[in-house]
Amino acid sequence: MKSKTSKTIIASAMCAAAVTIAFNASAADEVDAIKARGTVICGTGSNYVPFSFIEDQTTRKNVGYDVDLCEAVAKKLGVKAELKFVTTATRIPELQQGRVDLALASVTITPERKELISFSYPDMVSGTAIIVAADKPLKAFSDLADKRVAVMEGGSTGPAMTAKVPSSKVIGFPTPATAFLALEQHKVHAMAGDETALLGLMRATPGKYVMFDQYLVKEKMGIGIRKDEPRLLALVNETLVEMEKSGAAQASYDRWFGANSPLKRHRNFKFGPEEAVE
Amino acid sequence: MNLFPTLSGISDLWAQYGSSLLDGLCMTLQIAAIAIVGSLVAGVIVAFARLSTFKPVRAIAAGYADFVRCVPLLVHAMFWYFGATELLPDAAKDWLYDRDAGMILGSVALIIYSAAFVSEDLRSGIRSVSAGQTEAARALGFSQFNTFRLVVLPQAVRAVIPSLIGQAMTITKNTSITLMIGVVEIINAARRVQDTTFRIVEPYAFATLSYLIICSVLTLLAMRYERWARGGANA
Repeated sequence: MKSKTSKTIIASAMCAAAVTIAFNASAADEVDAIKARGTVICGTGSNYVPFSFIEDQTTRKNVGYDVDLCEAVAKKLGVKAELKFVTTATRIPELQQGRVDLALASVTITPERKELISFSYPDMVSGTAIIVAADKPLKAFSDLADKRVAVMEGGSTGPAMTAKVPSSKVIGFPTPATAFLALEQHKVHAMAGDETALLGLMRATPGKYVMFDQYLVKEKMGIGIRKDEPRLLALVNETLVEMEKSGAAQASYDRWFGANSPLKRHRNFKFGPEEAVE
Repeated sequence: MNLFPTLSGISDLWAQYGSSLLDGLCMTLQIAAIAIVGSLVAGVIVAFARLSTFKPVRAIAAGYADFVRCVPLLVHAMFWYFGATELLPDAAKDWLYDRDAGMILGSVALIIYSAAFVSEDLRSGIRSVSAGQTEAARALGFSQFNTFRLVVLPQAVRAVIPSLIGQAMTITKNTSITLMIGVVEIINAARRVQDTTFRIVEPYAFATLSYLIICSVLTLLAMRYERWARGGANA
């Protein structure tokens, strides 16, 4: 009698434990993992002005537009922000394989990428632009026929450039800095890339380069989140909406792109659902 | 995302991207051929310099071989592509950039890097040739250069052909470093396919297969050579 009762008690306790574990396992998702870890890992560029770069050489801390977004999301989740450096080519695989929680680094929202990852509300509206040396007579896309153009390897710019000017020679480089170096050394006639990235590079050499009036492609960029993480997606979108309401979004834009920066761009969008942004 | 390839998937990918992958393979073969021939020639020159009676010449050759082998190949490629070109006059720069500068300078970097290894291999081959050969040749009136060219070098090369074939394989694989300076060789071409289609297995399988075939051809050459060297009837 006694052993049978104790066996029953042990069996029920194990069942209860199993059910608890199973229930917790099914409820555990990215948000829980982040909170348990105490940090949210954001994939950003390492030297991508003004999204994520070292401004003050004495502190050697990365700052920028993407870093502000990462810290806002971290504050919302009640954890610390941790940056992991990625490149244009690795940001989506790193996200898919769980090594970063958020893919910042100017991820353009495209239908092909939407099949692989989720996007937050657009955090930047921009386009792909072309810059050429100010003393060269290149002004329109037709002038780029048969010319060498530097682009970022692995991004969406290379195929877009070939589609627009099929006879141009697209040379891919691993980082924005190496592509710009190639332009500086006259290895290429032009450089195509994200407008704000190009402005960041141009600010080091004022007056030496001019940007084409026309965009190669007009784009919205968002924060990349792994698929099937609705809680994290909702939290990130809420963070963006709150940043817009509190004015933090405008302040961050002004600091890095607008009136308080050397670029002096005007903000022509607000954080909100993608259909509303134009 | 379906990671594993399907037969229909492969034929679709090949139809669309096959030619770009083959272009990448051509580029790899071109750079490998240039680098293998160039590093053999340069390696022989350096090996000969190390035998020189002039101490400065020996020192420079030894210094070159030791220094170059310690610097990573990527640093060589970056130096030749971004650094050395700035020292050229403008006319030379324009001439260079009108052609495929990445391929030319990547080949130069690979030649300089690999020649150091080839010269070391040759040096061990030269040491395996007994000193009596050199003495006898000099006694017969051969000049130092002709001794090297006609007596020592042929024996030395025969001794280290397997190592040199190994170097050829390494050079072939090292051509992928040029993707950092914008050359579209096979790995870069595979990466571009991956970036557009997000298929990982198929493009890299093609690249791996290409390297495997090239290295297998080289291995077969090495095996044929060893049979011939042994002097059997199967040569």
